[in-house]
Amino acid sequence: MDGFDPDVELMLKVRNGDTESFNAILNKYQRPIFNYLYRCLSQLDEAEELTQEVFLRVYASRRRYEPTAKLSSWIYKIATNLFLKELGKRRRRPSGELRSHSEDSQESSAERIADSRPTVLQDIEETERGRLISEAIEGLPGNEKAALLLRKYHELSYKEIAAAMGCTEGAVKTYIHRGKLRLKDRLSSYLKEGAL
Amino acid sequence: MNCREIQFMLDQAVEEGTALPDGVARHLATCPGCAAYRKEMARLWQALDFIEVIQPAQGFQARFWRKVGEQESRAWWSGRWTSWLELGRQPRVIAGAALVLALALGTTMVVNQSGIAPIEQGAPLASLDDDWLLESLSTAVESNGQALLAHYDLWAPEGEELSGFPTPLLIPQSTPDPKIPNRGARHEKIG
Repeated sequence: MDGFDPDVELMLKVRNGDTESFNAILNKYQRPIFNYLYRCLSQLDEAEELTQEVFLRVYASRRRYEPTAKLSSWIYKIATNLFLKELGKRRRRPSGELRSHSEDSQESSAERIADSRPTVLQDIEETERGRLISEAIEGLPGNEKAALLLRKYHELSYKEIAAAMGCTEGAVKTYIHRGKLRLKDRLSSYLKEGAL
Repeated sequence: MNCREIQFMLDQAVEEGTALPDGVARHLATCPGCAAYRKEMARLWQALDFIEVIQPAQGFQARFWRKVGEQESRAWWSGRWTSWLELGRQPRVIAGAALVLALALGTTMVVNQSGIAPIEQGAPLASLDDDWLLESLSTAVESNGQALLAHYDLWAPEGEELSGFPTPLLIPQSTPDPKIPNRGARHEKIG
């Protein structure tokens, strides 16, 4: 592990039975992990449930914890695994159910953005911009979405993302590159018009 | 390097806002496509900042610790069962349990055979006045009233009225007769 990670110290205390230190970890990471999973899944209740599951797994593993990597990388790794697993479950669900979740917006986000362009662009606000971007991100394939989100919103290095996703740095660069190209395509009209 | 490779390399520079490597900078100066790509990507990366940050619902930590409690409770019970099952697989434990069971069965059989002297089939109820028998009955009642009832019903002569008999016998000490302690209790109904 490179450098000193204060989170590791907290986790070592948790390993020795200090639950208050785990509250400190929760305070620090519950919001980023929740936002990460929400952006991945676009479902508040599922995001909260998975966030709880992430921390339950971290807590359950406290006695086996060894500070071999940054704690944040480990937490994001668990979150990413849960997200990709959940994505797999969604794919296996009947198509009727799928439409009620992200797939619906995945397929049509670009069209919806395009259709509403003339009116929305005239009076676009920050929240609306956020919605457009969220919808565009929602439509990305799982790996590209995870890599891009971890890079942009959680400021993880390529190496950390690779560790979190269980792939090589090269694969991470490819995911991010492809993800950006998709986003550029979906949001190109807004980018050109300066709406974003 | 071709344009695709250049664009791939541009990503990291755009994300981190770092200076471009010499080779990439030279390429950008001569390639309008890659230069445009760089600008678009920089704008896109900046635009991604406009995304809402949300908070987990209130009571997140309380819900978390409640779930921890539930999980640990489940794990504890699961552990108990597992340890019992593990224990049950050990030959010594099995042999010990078998020995205890055999002893319990043997003791029960001995008590059943010798605890109360059997009464001859059809003997008159009056013959129960024997002090020794009553004492035995009372002692047995104290330990197992139902067993005594079954025993007495079996050996009582046909047609003999026994209704109300077992109840007072089940608690003979409650109405002691100072002269003949056990005999007095036999026909009196308590309560």
